[in-house]
Amino acid sequence: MLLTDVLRFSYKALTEKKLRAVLTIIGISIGPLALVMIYGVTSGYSNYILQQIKGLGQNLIAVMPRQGYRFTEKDLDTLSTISGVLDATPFYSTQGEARIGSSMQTVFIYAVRYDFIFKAIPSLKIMEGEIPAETDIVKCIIGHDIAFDENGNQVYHVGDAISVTIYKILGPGRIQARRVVFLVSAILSKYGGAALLNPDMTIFISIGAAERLVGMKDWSGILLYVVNPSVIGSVTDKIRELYGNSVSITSFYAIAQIASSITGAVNFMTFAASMAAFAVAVAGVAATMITSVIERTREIGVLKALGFTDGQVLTLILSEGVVMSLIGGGIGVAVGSIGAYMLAEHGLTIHAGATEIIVKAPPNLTPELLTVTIILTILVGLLGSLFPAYRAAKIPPAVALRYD
Amino acid sequence: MDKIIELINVKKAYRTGNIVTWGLRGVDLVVYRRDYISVMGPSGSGKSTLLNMIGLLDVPSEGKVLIDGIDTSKLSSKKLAYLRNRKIGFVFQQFNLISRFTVLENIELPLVVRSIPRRKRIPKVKEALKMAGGEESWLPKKPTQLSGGQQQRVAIARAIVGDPEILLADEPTGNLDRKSAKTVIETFTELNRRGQTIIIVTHDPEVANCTNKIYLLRDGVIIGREEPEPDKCIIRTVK
Repeated sequence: MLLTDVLRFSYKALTEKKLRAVLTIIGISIGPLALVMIYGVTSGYSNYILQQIKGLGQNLIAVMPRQGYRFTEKDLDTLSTISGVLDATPFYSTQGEARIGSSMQTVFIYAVRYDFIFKAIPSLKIMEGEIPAETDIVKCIIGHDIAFDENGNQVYHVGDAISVTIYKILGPGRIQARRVVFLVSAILSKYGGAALLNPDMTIFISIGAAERLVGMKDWSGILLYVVNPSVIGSVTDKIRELYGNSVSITSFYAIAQIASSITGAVNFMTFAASMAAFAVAVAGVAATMITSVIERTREIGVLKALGFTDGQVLTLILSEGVVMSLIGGGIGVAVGSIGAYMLAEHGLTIHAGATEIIVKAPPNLTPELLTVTIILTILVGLLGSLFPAYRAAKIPPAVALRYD
Repeated sequence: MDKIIELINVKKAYRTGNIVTWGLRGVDLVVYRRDYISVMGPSGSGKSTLLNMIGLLDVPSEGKVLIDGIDTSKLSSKKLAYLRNRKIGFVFQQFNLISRFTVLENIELPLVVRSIPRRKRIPKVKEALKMAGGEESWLPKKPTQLSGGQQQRVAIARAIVGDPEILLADEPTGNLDRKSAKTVIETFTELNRRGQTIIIVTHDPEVANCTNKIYLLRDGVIIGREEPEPDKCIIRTVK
């Protein structure tokens, strides 16, 4: 029997009971739709977050003092001599407000050695201008979204002055505002990241600027640059041994690993939940096909009388299930892909205290995901029609011809 | 003469729980090439069971069915299907055309089994339909758009399209008016004249009288053979 005949027969069989076929196809399409849409979006977000964390520097460890502890030059020396540490630098971090276009917006201020930060976070790129000298304390590097307003208009150019109001809490009910003006020496390329660190809304200044212009005295922490991510565990253990609970240690590599296992679990759960829709579809196909086979018992008898073998009858019934599945799979994948892009367009809002981060990432619709989805959908058709097809193939022709 | 079908002491029992009903109680029958045979008998006499045995649609409980010298009792279901496709054509009382298929698609079914490309099937389908007294204009139509007589001619075309040596017809005129029945029997007679071996199971003496041999069946055994009366053949009696 030719494949074209098998497909033609299947198509004809499905068009005979259109409503039933359409309803079954809709039932089948829910599985691939759910899998492509939900898995695609969650996987897209997961990949995005992982990439962001990894982009922050896999060789970087941030050591921050807990309440009551204050870092000194001695701590910097101690930490920089730990085996595996290549470089160390203190840093200051705070927040302020700056005018961006027509509105005042919160900006992050990091005071850190420029050579260190560009080495530790290789994905930070200069779009315009040049990195200022460490001694040039009035100059700064601004993030892309500070230089450009929300409409994409450039509001700060290299050489412009940017005025930043920095608030300092002195005690209960006492806030000191300090206005500092920097000269823009460089503008960063769009980073796109918003998790943990938001370079697009950050002003990078020198340590000297933080101390002399902003008046910061206590280091926010010390950044360590290690030889490779594999030594992060041993370096972290050594810091714990030296400082106990006096410091908190943040390693982006470790965060990436945790995030990776969390996103892995989320992806697995999404996949498993979608499987429920596939299981229901198997039952739907089975119900449709068994009804179809019962209704066509006499016809099966005629086919056998004309010389169709059991195998050919089995193939015909199985192919009906597979054709339905392929149509349902195609619809599910198409609608699921559109839905995934619509969902992703909304973005994922992460609330972190007063800060709200909206993560926007394209859905991760890989060829692998689409292939697995189509294979699973074909399996739905095969599994759902296997028993009805076997039953049809095994009906003795004389019995089938007597069937009313 | 050349034997094409031979039944040797064929018995068929149907079991329902502990109750055994005999469809055939020991039938011996020899059919030669180009025979034109009718089998008559009252309802429940075993006519259809006999036809199912000859057509390899059912297997005997005892005895042997030989088709062209091949003992079919030892064949697998796949080989039986092959023999049905190559050597036997069926015509049923209810026509048994597939309603969602066109006339063309119904007639070509035995050729589909053989994986013959469609472009080669179509001339054979047209030739078979012409031989069965049908018209080419029916090919794109659905069976339900045709009259009963026309549908039976389509069924005959389907039965002969694969050039089988044996044509089996189970009450082929049972659902037809007299005029249509006459046309169908004319077709069978013409096919037999061209060399087709035909066995017709019928209640209708006017149909049986058109054949060359009439076997009488009762209670699952052949009780005798009658000589046909050509003057009482439906071809002559219906004007």
